[in-house]
Amino acid sequence: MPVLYADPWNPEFGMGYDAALEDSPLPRADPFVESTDWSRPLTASSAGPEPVWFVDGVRRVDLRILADEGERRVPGLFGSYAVGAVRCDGAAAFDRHRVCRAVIVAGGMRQDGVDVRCGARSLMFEPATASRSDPNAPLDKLQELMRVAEQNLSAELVGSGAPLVLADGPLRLGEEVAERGAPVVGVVKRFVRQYLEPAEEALLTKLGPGDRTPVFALLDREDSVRGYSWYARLVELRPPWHDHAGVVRCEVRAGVGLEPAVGLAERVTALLPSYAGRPSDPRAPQNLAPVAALEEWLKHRMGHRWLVRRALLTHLLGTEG
Amino acid sequence: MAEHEDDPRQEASERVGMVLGTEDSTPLTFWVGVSEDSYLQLDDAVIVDTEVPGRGTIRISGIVQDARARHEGASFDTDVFLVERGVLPVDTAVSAQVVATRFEPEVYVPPMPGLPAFRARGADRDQAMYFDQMGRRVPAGLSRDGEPMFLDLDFLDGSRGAHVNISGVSGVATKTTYALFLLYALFHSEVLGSYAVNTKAIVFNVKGEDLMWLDKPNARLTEDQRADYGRLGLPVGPFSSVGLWAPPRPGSAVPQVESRSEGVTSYYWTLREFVREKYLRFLFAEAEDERSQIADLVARVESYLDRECTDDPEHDATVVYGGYPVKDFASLCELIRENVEDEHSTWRGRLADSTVAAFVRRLDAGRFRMGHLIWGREAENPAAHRIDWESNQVTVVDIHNLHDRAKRFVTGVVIKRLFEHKERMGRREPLTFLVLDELNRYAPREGWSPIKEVLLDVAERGRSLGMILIGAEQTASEVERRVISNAAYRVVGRLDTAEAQRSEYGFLPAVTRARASILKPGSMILQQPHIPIPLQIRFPFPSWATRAEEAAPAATEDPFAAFGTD
Repeated sequence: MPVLYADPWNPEFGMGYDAALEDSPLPRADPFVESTDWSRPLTASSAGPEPVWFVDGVRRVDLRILADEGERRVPGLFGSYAVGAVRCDGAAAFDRHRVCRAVIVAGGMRQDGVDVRCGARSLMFEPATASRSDPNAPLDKLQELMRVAEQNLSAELVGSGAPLVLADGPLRLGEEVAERGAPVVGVVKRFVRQYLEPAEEALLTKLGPGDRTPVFALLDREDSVRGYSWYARLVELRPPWHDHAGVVRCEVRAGVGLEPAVGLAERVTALLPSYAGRPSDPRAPQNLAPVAALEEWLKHRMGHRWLVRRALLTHLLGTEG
Repeated sequence: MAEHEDDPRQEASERVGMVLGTEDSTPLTFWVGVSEDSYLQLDDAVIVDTEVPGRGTIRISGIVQDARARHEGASFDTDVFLVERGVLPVDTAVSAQVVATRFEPEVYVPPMPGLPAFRARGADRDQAMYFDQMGRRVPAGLSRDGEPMFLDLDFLDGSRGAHVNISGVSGVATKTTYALFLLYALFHSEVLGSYAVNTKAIVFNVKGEDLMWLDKPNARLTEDQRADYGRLGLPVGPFSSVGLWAPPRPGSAVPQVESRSEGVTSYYWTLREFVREKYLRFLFAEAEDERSQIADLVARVESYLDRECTDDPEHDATVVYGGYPVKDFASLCELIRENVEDEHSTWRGRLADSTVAAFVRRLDAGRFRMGHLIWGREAENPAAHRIDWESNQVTVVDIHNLHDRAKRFVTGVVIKRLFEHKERMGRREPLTFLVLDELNRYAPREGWSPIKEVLLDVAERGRSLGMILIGAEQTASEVERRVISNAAYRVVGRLDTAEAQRSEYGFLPAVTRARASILKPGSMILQQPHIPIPLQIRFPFPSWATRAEEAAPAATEDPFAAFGTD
């Protein structure tokens, strides 16, 4: 087993803090699966309020480490992540949630779980390995663990009867999942890459709140459809903003089918404006209000950062040499 | 901790939450997070058992002083609207601040965060409120959740303390009604034991004729109100032994009472009593500067009168001066005036003309305002009209119709007689209670007056003499400090907001002060020596009548039923 050494730096500094933005394995889009008319927005016809579950996750690097095994030295980290759901069916309430901890080492090195005493309780850090060994590899692995946990939670909610789940962030369309037809919609806040040609993308400027673009298909390298996507506007575009502000991109798995995907697009586009992020939110309005509250709530449940960090340092002191 | 199956507390006290760890927990105050399926309200008694290494289990008892609820996770005021629309999920936290009242055994440690907190019931509640340590408990009212509250007689009868002081705005504070409820509880519970029969109370009726019906049951009492008495272990009914006294109508011995004609006796004093008992000073009973020389002159005149007047052999009520009988009060005043205005008279001594003039002015005013209370030859049976507090348990002396001067005279004379009587008896029991509203009039903070002197005597020495003052006033800030500070029990009804900020109410914590300004009639805040924080209580609706309509027998459905149907 490797020997773990703590990096004294605050994890917010140093080795790069953001996980690599997901590089989509879906290089192409087919804009004309629903309609060829991209000249005007489609206004979602609301069927009235309906129950909806929001799913999100948060993660945190508690301590960066270096793992030494013989001649090899790879980066790693102790991290915490939490995923949870908010049920909105007239009243908004926190629903299921899960707090997990992981000790991650890079370069495929094997590592055991670590049981760390913290106050009157102990925290179990489950082992995980990142295959790459670059400095960002452990963080990317943590991000992936969180994404998987989110995906599992969404599936669990659908399994127990949730009619609609809005997951924060992209859906990992490149991978095969069991319930491909589940009504799970990924709501993506950021423009990572351009899917549309300028001719179609011009429509985004014309979207009003509750409007959407036609549904377009996302294709992989083999040109097979992996998902359907659309853009929707949450709030009125205000003068100083760029024309993509206040717009989110939604996506569903291809397994849902085109027609149901268009149906979901209608329902979700109509729903979204009422859940738009509060102006006080630094990521308003795309950071939806239930999601913002859920993030705070989950962060709190991961425990106090410095208490966990101190417990880890104490633990490493005890095991060293 | 919660697993105690055989813990007797589980039968009565119920778990309501846990000691918070996000607010400082100190030995004297701590916060309890209230669980979702439970509640704590102001004045609830709470207990927490905490383990102290090496000392075992310490039970901390306390009383809820404040309670709050808030959204957790919402940071902006507008969030509440999002929550209501079902957009923003939040947690709602309810917590209550507890002020510790008791540590058993006395180890002053804070309760540990996370310990379960219980709402105290039964024996636990008695312990939290120290009722278990009260050997002789007087029902004092009901807590807001309907549980009985008690006073410790030891702190009322002079063994360890005495006197009650009640403050509050007129009309809504129900000060006199509460004072009477206390008397009722004393006289109609078993607490006084064998002394009950001989314990007396004198009540001055200063407003309206509310107290002239104490001997009649209240026909308008509802079933719920009757049940309140049951919970306190008191019978429902009027005062069992009442004497009612009112001033005479001018020119006759008929009592001046509007609402009832029977059962009331008129009171007056005779000229002879006035001279022998030295009542002249109570004619001069308005507050004076202590340096005023009028008091000297009054004392001189009193002693000359006593020395130079002889008893009238022809009438019990009058005296003879210089060989001639003094037949009425006007003649007596005239006699006094002549003597003090005579520059060569020894009566006036070396006092200045201005002092004498002031004396005569007041004498004339007194004669005009209360001449009808001092009778001479016209008195036919003076003994029957002397206020007799011995033959009834409660004696009501009505003064509400009298002029201010006459009110002072009556209260001054009665309290002085009573005090001298207790002084002669020389022992505490049986007790005598004195109920006096408008203390600010009789014992004002500024100045000196003969009544204030008597009241100070009662406040300071009454404890050992068994003379207990139940005093009331609108504003404690206007009453002599020593009268108030000698009261073991402080009671506050509805208070004016500005008045509540004064230092006289320093015993009320800020939250309680705020509550004092919204108290409803029938609710009081009671501060007792045992319990470190004042508690809100309510007392039952009077089971005795407070006006003619209530004294009437319960009306039947059909007012003509008594006439028969055919």
